[in-house]
Amino acid sequence: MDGSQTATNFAATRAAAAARQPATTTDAPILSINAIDKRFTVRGREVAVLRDFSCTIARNSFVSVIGPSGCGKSTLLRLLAGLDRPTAGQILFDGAPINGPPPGMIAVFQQYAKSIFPWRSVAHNVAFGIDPASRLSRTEKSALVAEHLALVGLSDHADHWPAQISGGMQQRLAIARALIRKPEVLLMDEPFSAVDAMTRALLQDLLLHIWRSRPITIVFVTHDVDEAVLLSQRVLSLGRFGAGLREDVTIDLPQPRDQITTRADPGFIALRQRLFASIFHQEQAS
Amino acid sequence: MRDRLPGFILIAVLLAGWEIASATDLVDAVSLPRVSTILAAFWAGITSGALPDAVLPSLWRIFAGFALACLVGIPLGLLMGTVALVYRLLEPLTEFIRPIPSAAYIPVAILFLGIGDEMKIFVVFLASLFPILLNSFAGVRAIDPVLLDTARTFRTARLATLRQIVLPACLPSILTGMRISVGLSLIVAVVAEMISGNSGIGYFILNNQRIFRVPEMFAGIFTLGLLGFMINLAFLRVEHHLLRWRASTGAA
Ligand SMILES: Nc1ncnc2c1ncn2[C@@H]1O[C@H](COP(=O)(O)OP(=O)(O)OP(=O)(O)O)[C@@H](O)[C@H]1O
Ligand SMILES: [Mg+2]
Repeated sequence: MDGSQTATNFAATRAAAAARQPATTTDAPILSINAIDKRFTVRGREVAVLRDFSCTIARNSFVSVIGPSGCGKSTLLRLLAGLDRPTAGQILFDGAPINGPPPGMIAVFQQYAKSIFPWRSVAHNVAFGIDPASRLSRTEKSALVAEHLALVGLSDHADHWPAQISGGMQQRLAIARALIRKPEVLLMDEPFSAVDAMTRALLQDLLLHIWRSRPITIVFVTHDVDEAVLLSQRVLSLGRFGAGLREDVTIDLPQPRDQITTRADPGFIALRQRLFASIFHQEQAS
Repeated sequence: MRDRLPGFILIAVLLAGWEIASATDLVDAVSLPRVSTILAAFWAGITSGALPDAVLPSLWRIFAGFALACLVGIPLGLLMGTVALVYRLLEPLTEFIRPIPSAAYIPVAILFLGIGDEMKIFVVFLASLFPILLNSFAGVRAIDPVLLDTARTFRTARLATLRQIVLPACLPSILTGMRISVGLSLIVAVVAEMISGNSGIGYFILNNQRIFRVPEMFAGIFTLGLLGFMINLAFLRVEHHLLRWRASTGAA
């Protein structure tokens, strides 16, 4: 879905991203989760989804969170997004505690189709993401929208209603609307779980391209081990409901990554095998 | 329009049956005049200006009462749906007033507002208010929480969220309420005009019955049917345009 003309300015941005990386490791983490608890009261009984959960996320990194259904991935992401508050502990974004959705952070929801405004055209949906504080002129805004529609390959559908485009297109629309805000942190909750395998592969490469071409931290929730290993620099694996963080694996596969080369990399196969086996054994044991 | 054809054919057949029944004295032609006589009276009413003179005050009352009901009902319904306190405050009251048939307010309204336009507009307003209010409220309640989370993650201001997300998301439901209210307001306006006053299509029908001008009375009823039909058609057109995003086919 990326035109070949983007491939050339890719190379430049990729070099910039590579130059960025050594510096980022010494930076203070963009997100620090400090000993948070999250409990829900279900029919009078309190259940703990997260207990004394801590970790930090490096600036401009790509981190995946995997785990079985119901283990608390969406809960964690909502806490990071400031949409829910932890029962105890706190989360720091750029050193400041999160109380409510902070500027510089956008969440893309698991039910992305429901997050799109059906009464706005595709282009108008993307325009919704523009920061109202940016005070852009009308022409600047439409240029920005056109640029982001092109980025996700929706230029030809700018005037369609969301009901007239496919699920994969709606997902790309949700991504474009998030990116136009120029967030420092993008939180994505199982964004590709509802599309077919080929669309998913295309979306994964699109996301890798986006991550390489701008400074952005991506926290990506998935329950697909392969997807996590392919995309991220680090994978956090959560155990069953309430079990907390089980594994924290660094994925040091070479960049830039893509469907064909990375998936064929023996390192990829070894990592995904090891991670899969570890999760599988935990599941068997529990 | 084409799939409406069978319906129109049925109407034509019924009217023809009526014409024949009345012409052959199968029914009392004084109480049920021939269709052709009624149409002649209808035409005469239009050319003499008697029918337009009767319809215009009714239209004004319906429009004013209905518009007021929208002006009050939509914001109040949205507020009830978003602010818990407003809901707890108003819910018992609306549940108590709602089941009372709107025609029952007319005697009370006459006591306070007399028999003029104010009373009729007020009664139309009251009758139209509840469907609009309750459907607006139900619309807010049915908004998908994901839409509101989207507003929050984009840090959309409260007022902008209301205008850009809550209102359009509730629009289908609000329009449903409005369509119910349009029908009610026509009924209540006619009843109020029959009970009191000396103008409007309701008065026209009742008065012609009293002075035994039966064809004119039927012409009035026929006008009401036509009026209701046209209002509904206009409403459907507007609704279709406002909710054009729902159609999954055709150009955007
Ligand atoms: N608002 C809530 N009230 C009560 N319980 C909740 C609430 N939200 C989540 N939970 C519970 O917390 C647990 C974790 O839910 P969460 O949605 O985070 O899971 P998940 O890992 O995202 O699962 P999936 O992969 O199916 O999306 C579940 O057992 C769920 O029932
Ligand atoms: Mg989830």
